[in-house]
Amino acid sequence: MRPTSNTRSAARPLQLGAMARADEHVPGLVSIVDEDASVRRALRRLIESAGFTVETFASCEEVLHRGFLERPACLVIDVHLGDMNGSQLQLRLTAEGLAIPTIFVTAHDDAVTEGIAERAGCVTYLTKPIDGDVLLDAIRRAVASLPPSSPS
Amino acid sequence: VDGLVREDAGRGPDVGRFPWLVARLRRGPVHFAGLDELSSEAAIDCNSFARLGISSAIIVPLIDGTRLLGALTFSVQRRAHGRPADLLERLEFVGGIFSGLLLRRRNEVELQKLRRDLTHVGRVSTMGELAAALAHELNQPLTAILTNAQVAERLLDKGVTKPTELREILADIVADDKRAGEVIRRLRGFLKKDPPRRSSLDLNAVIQDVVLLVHSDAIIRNVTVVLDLAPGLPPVHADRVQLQQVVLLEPHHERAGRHARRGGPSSWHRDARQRGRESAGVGQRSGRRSPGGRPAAGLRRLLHDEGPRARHGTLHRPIAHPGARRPGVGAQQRGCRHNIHIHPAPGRAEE
Repeated sequence: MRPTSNTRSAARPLQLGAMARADEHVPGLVSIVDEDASVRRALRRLIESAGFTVETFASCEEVLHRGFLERPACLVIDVHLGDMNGSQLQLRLTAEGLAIPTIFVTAHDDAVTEGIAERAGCVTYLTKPIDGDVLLDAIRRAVASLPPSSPS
Repeated sequence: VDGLVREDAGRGPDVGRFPWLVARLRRGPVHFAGLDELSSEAAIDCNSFARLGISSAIIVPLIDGTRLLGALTFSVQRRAHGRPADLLERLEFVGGIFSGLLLRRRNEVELQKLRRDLTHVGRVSTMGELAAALAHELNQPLTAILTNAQVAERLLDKGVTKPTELREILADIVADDKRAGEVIRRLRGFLKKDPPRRSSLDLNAVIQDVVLLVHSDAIIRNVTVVLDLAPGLPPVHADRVQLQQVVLLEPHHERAGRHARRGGPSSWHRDARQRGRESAGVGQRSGRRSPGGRPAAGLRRLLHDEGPRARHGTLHRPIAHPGARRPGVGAQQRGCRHNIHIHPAPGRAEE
């Protein structure tokens, strides 16, 4: 899967109509990896409010040790994590046959970080602070584009 | 006359208050054996001399080339005094020594100021390198605040008003706002260009402050910071910012070098337990030995231990110091080494 775009420019806020349906349970697990506890809590609230099931991890290490509840429909990873960076984790998962649509978030809006994200084949690359609507939009599109099991 | 001190206070040298004297001193020493020898323009000063009981004086100019630095006054009170023929010459010689000292002192002060500026520049450029890291540090709380606020809006829009949930969200927002404020406060304190101000400091707190400052920088460089701090160290008497710099610069360049070298995850292990005890011990001992007290020696020790060839704990081999090949880095480090060196802590530091 090629990185389609840098959604900072492509993403537009969702219409209210889409928000109104947010209560409904949406099948799909969204896994968040972010080292910041407060950010994890906030993202969990946001994404749960859109009807997804959410699980959070503080580090890549934790992901590798604990494993996912089920195959996530979407990953939201901070590119810069203490132990291993988000792209390394993603490459590792892909290598193990878990090609999961991934949204990278970063606090560093620079070419290097963007390059890392693109090479890792992320679907979307967002810069913190993230607009909630933009993130939810990206997650919905990532989940929808989930290829059955083709690791292209 | 210490023209220097007066000048620093912004009032000009003391001799500036004696216009008649300044003009005459430029031509050479001034001497009078009685107040009646002084010209009428010196009337005001004559009164002062009379009040002080000065009846005769020899005033030797302190000159640096052509610049009048000040004057050295030898006066006789109450009783008139004969003047040996070679006295003036000898006093001029003493004046020469004083000029030299004055000049040296003045240069020292200027040098100190330059050094302070340089240190400031060093700090600012270090901050430049850390800017990306700080953006990260600020972005985390900002992200959480924005997301939480938007969640709260969504909940209210949907008519979901569970007070406990909203309260939790608000509490998180408040905490994150304070966190962002802390980052800014630390940064501001670090960048201040104030003359060093010593106070009683908790070394561990200083180290922790710096670690917070470089937290995300370390993350970017794939470095894990492990602190092993000894509890209950006696306070250190030092300037907070300088001490922060010492703690910051060494590991910062250490990490920069390692990052460039290997790029892989590594660990910077700072063991302040051993070192801290040692510093405190040195300070206390010498403090007792000499009333001047030299706990600064302990701080130097801390710095040296963290220097180029030092071992950082036992987790990894020592590496060559990257600063050696990078101009500028060395200068910064010399700067802080020197700062500590030239501001020895006073005797009360042994507290």
